[in-house]
Amino acid sequence: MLRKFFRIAVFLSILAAWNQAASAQVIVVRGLIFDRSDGQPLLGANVVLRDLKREWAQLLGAATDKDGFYQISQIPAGTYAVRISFVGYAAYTDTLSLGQAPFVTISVELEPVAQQLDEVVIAGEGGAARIRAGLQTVRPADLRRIPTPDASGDLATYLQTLPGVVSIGDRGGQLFIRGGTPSQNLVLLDGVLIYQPMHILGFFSAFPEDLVSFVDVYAGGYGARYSGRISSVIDVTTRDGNRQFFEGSGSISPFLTSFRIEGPLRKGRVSMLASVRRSMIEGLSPTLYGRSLPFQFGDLFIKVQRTDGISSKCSVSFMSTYDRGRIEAEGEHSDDVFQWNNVVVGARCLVFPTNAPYLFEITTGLSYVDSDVGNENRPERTSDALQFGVDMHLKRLIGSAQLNFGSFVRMTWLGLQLREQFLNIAPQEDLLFSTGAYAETELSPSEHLTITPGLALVLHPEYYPISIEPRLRAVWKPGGKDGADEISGAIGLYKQTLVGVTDERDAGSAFVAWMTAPVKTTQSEAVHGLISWQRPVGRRIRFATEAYYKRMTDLPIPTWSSVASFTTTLALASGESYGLDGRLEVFGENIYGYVGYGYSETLYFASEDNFGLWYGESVQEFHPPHDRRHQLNVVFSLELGRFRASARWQYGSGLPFTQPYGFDEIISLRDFADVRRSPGTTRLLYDKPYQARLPAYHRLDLSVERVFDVGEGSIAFQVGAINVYDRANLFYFDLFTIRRVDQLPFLPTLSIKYDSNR
Amino acid sequence: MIWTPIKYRRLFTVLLTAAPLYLFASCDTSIEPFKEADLYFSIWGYLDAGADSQFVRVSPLRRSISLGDQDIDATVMLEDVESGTKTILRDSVFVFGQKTVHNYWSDVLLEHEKIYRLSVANSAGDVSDAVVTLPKVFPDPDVTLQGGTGVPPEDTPLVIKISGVDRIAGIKIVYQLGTPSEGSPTEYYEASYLDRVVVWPDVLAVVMIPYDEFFRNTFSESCPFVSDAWVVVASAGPDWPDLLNIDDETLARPDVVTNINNGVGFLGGVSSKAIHMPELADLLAGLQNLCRRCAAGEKIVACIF
Repeated sequence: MLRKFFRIAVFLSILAAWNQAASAQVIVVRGLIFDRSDGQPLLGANVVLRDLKREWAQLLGAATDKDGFYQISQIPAGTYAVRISFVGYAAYTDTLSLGQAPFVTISVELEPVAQQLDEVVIAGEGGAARIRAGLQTVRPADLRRIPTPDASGDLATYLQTLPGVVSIGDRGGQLFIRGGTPSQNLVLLDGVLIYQPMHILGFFSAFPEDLVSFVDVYAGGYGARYSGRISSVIDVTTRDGNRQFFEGSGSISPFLTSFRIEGPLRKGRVSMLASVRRSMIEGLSPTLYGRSLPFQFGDLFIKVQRTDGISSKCSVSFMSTYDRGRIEAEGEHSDDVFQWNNVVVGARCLVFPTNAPYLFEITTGLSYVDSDVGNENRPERTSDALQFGVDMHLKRLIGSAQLNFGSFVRMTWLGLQLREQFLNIAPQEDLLFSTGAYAETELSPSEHLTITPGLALVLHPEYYPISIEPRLRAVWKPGGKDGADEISGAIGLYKQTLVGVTDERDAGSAFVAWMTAPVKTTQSEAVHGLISWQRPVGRRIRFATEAYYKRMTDLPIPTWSSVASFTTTLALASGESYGLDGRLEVFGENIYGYVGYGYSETLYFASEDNFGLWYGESVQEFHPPHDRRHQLNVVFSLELGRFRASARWQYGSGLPFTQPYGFDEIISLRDFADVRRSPGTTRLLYDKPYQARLPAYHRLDLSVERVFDVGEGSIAFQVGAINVYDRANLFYFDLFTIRRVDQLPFLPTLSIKYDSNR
Repeated sequence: MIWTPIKYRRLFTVLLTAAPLYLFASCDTSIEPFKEADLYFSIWGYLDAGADSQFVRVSPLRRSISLGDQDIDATVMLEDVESGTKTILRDSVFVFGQKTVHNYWSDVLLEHEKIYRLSVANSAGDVSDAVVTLPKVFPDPDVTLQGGTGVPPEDTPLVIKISGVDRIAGIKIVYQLGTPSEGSPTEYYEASYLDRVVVWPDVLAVVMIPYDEFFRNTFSESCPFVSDAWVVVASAGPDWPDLLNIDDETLARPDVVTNINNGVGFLGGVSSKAIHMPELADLLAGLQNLCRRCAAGEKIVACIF
């Protein structure tokens, strides 16, 4: 296996050497583009070179990436007019004489123009209906449109409006994306893994609008850069702190208080951003709402960022989150307290050397999560995971092709204590070392077509065979670069060695037992295939649709048990998930509308082991509890003067559940028990797993905001309500007390937010 | 802000759009958690050709965790399949802490190697039933308390030799705890040793070590006074499942170990013999003082095992 790995490594080295040789003949212009007012990098700014002596020559150009970086290569020597522009900013123009130096750096800060940014254009750059082979880029403006019971938007609430994203209820903080489970989602905070970032109350995550620069959400089909998870990628890039002046904000609502401060530590060069949030709902809910909402959560984020303004930027970030609460406020397991904490420390540097054609990015980070459930002082199950890793990425252009390659080293420690469930998992500690590399190149054989083949390799020195994961992404624009239609697709193989096992019988279970592949040391595996089509209809409407298929194998799941309190064993299952999304966005001058519909079907079936015999038949397949067949989201946002109103309506068809026949008492005949002396063990007799469906779910959330100027800053008052028409959405049914537990009822909210920067 | 007709029209449109949403609130949100099925009663226990009375646990398959104090709508009938003789079993209520159960009983004597049908019917005519074959007669087991001083840590094995059976349904020791007194119920403790069966030529033997089993495990820290003891051995009929090779979780499933038609549970056929063992009670009574010293934390030799 090692020999095979080294052969591939040699191949990659040769590829890199060829890449180096091929680069010798060209002039490269690259740089970083920032917002002058606060030093934020600008994503999507256009850099265009026009040959002043050969007017007929084709324009050369590039757009900046999430770091504000651009690169134009294969530029013939000559004199050029350079124009750097971005909507809402004054364009930068200059004349450039290229000839001697092979690498020229032009880094610029663009000045925002006085008028307010055009919401239509900004939204057009992101938006739910701009989807490319599973990838959607989410911006703060997207988050802001979705009502939450707080003054700021949040990624958790936004993600739930996307077709194919399923949450079991409004608590537990678990998101299932296109048939995958939460532990199969790779969530990155500035390139560093964060294990469980969704807060216990489903509206909130560790990523509020104020911290997010943008988020790449891959619902599947992601490229070779990402490895280690088999369902999806949520790659969060946080904002840099303001490099020019200090600013901050503070908000309060019945659910949450938050405070943010940012500013220059060294003006124009070094900035900091700090945010702290703390939940209020547990203390206030009995008084305000007359009911117990026993949830505590919060997070702390600090980021220090430095840039030379020309060719490098580095940042160090720290995040800590905590969640604690009772998923069941009453009932048999009401003493069960779920709690989890994340700690992430990361550093990331981006640099392009003045004498080399590379963009070099290095990320190093430490991620820790501890999670437990049970009695508060004596948890029944505990799981800890600690990962330290270093990732290196290099990017360069060779003609019209872009080559990305990189490598990583990761060390993961896992600790697990289970006292009740998962019988075949002994308390364990595990140390797993892994290393890997990837390469992908973006080829444009024609103006219409871009193909990105890639390969990811992951090596685990022990236990597992080398993972060779080919990936392919492609974008076809039938009308050329400026054409309206875009058809894209992706296919790839994905493997996951660290698996998170949850007991799917628990309602909204937030406990994840992290472990190395627990059965037969077999890695979970998925094959993704998807195809999407998007097109704008006029200036104000955009439509997108995507079909997908996922085939999953070797998923560890609990075998079904007749007695919920009994220990259970794990079996390997296979699964498939397929579906079709449709998204329509409307951008008006003051209006935004979005309709998203998703159809999906997820099916698990036994690969080798049966889930169990049931009334003489093999249980070979079932729809897991997150298999939501239909999902509809409608978002509407309206701005009238200084008022902004937002509404979100969600509909989800019923989730599967297991119907019981009834209760009785088992007498232990093995002990030859006498019925006169044995009370028996109470048993709940179940039907085959997940044969029935819960009622459909739907809910309307509203908010209205009015902003007032106060000195240099502003105060926003927001009134709103969740579950406006007080729909009784079932969360779970407690069979032991014959009592239904519903999700949150109608709850009015009021939040106030002060922002020092108008 | 000036309200123009266009704005009024917009507001009307918004309201018109929102109105249907309110209608959703009244949509049916009910759930039927239980599945309807032709499963009426849960029946557990065994018919015993060696006993002078029969007790069978009967419960409707209910939709709440506890039956409560209520009577159950059940008529329990035992029928000799060959002769057609029928006997109605009477209800008796047993209370275990918070749990109330119904055991139906009769003092009818059953015969070895005969087939019986037990049926449970409710007033609506729903019937659950089971057909049970009782085993043949087997010789009295040879039970001896062998060797040793009877004082821990020296072993004093109890050996039970059983022969002439096709399958053993159970081997257990029933202890009478405390001194029986009038007016208060006698307490019993049962310990099963089916998993200790060792097959010898022509006999099945059970070997036990009293120190480990009785002194430490059975009595734990409560150290009760044992006033009497019986060794109970039961042979099983042909329908009796091999319970030792089925784990608890599998046993709990409704389809694995059941012979109840239109119901759940298991009704076995056995023939039991109870061998009175006063000498075992004497031995354990003698150990009570040692047990108390160990429970109090003394580090005597008897406690180290």
